[in-house]
Amino acid sequence: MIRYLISRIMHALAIVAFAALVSFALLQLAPGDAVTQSVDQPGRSSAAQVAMRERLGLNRSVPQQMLTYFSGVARGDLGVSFTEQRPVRSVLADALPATMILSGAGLVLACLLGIGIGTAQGWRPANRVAATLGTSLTLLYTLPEVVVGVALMAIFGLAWTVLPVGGMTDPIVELTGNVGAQLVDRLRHLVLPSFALALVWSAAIARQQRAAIREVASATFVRTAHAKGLSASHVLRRHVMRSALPGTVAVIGTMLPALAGGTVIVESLFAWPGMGSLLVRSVALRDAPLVAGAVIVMATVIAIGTLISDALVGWLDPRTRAEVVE
Amino acid sequence: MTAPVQRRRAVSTLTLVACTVAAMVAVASVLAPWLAPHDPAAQLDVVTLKNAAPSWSHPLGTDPFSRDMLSRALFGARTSLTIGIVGAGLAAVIALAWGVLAGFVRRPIGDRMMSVVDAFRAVPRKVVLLAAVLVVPHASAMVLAVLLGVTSWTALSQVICVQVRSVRSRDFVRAAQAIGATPMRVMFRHIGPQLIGSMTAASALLLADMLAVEAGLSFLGLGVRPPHASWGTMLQDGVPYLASAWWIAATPCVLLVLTVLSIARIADAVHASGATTAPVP
Repeated sequence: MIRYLISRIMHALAIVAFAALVSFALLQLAPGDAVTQSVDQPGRSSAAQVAMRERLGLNRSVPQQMLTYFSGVARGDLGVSFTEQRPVRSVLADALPATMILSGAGLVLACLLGIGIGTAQGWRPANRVAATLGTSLTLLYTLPEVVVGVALMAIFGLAWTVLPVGGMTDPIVELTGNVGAQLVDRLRHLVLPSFALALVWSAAIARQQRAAIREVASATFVRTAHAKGLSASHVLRRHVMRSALPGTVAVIGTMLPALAGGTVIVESLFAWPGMGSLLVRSVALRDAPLVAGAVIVMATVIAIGTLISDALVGWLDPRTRAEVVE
Repeated sequence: MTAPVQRRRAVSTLTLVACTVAAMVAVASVLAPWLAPHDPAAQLDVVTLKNAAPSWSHPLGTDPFSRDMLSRALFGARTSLTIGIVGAGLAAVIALAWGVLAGFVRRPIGDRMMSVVDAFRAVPRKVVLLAAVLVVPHASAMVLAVLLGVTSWTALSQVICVQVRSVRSRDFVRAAQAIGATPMRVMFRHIGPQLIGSMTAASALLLADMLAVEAGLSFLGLGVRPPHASWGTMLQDGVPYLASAWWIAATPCVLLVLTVLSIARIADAVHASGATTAPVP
């Protein structure tokens, strides 16, 4: 297990290093630098510009700048945002919790929907309800997140006004100071964006879970369990699920980048104040340090998520650990 | 015991419907300049025709800039499909080249090539695309298509690499190598044809995926530049008016859903039919 974990941690570190490299390339290639793009002092003289470049180290060679940037990244220093005039780290730290809440809720919903429907479909192939739900999920999988989001918004937010369609909180409810009402309000704001994410992404989970359950259900050890007289639900819980889940957890791990990409669209659509809408805004405003920082932070979060899913798979299924040791 | 022979219909009804929809969208996008009643970028009457409801003179209504939605939908199909086809074609070619090479060379090198793909896949494609938009501002539709293609080949290349490795270990390939066929001949004559079936289905799915990503990117205002019409920019124009003029956003939504589902259905049918799988030489 230790050797397996070490190999997975190296993999996660490689991802973060790759993201840092992409970010540095981005900063070098993007139009303008900290001197020309700063908004507080537009009319600097050329002598002042040269002096400022010297002070910020922008006149040094590319490898030297790269070394400075990487050592900064390693210490958690991501530079200063052009538009916000404060460290990128603090701008991102403000936006990260909102994104974690939304993508966390979306992921949990996707797992519940995907594993639930996939299991039902695989375990009871004749069940029409499960089959219909499974087919509907497959249809949603190919659609763009923005279309699913707009449809949810139109149906539940506008045609039938049961749920809020924008933002994370209702400012009026926030002012009352009633903690219970605030919690309910926040949950209500979370419903539509998290479903927009989950509906698109649960199909891949359902497909994997269905295939895995079908495969395991015909195994001899399952037949033995049935023959021993165990109840069907006991066989499913203790025998079939144990073998079927590792593959599904692995698939969920590989889906994390796409899920993060989906939050970019869904956050912008539902005015969710997270990393996704921040990223879109900073691209529109040409704020390269902020974009680069967001790329690194997103890649780090994904690398950690993948690491957790890898560790889970290794724990659930001893065969994966053995593969690395071989 | 012989299995009873069953007559199977060559193509299911659903697949026929999907083919019809896809063909209609393709024809509409080719003939857009002749079919469209108005210039898609012309602001006809900003005062009286803003967000007009569907009528005889404007069958799909008008958008917030008083542009005719039918004309925009037709020209939008043209832009979206062009970006989709160019992007998907480019992604398929890169995936094929990288995947076949990684599957064909010696194991350690091939594994290294695939770990590069792993690292690529760990960073969300939409985020990479946004970063690319920062570096290449005001990208034309063609540049956008190239960006989409360059960022979308990784998943398919992994599939191809696995497939090439499995075909390589089969007897007919071993036999060809044993009688002295050159690596080039093995690759093109023996392994290549085995990939056609999955490549056809995968390219169609890539096209559907490209349409979805273009819609997302243009919806964010970072894809196709206004006043050019694409289904994504139409969504961008329509979403703020969802409450008062829902038909503006509904048009691109319906078109995207129909087209994407049709393409996915056709890809499934191609894949299931196995018609394009080459016989073992």
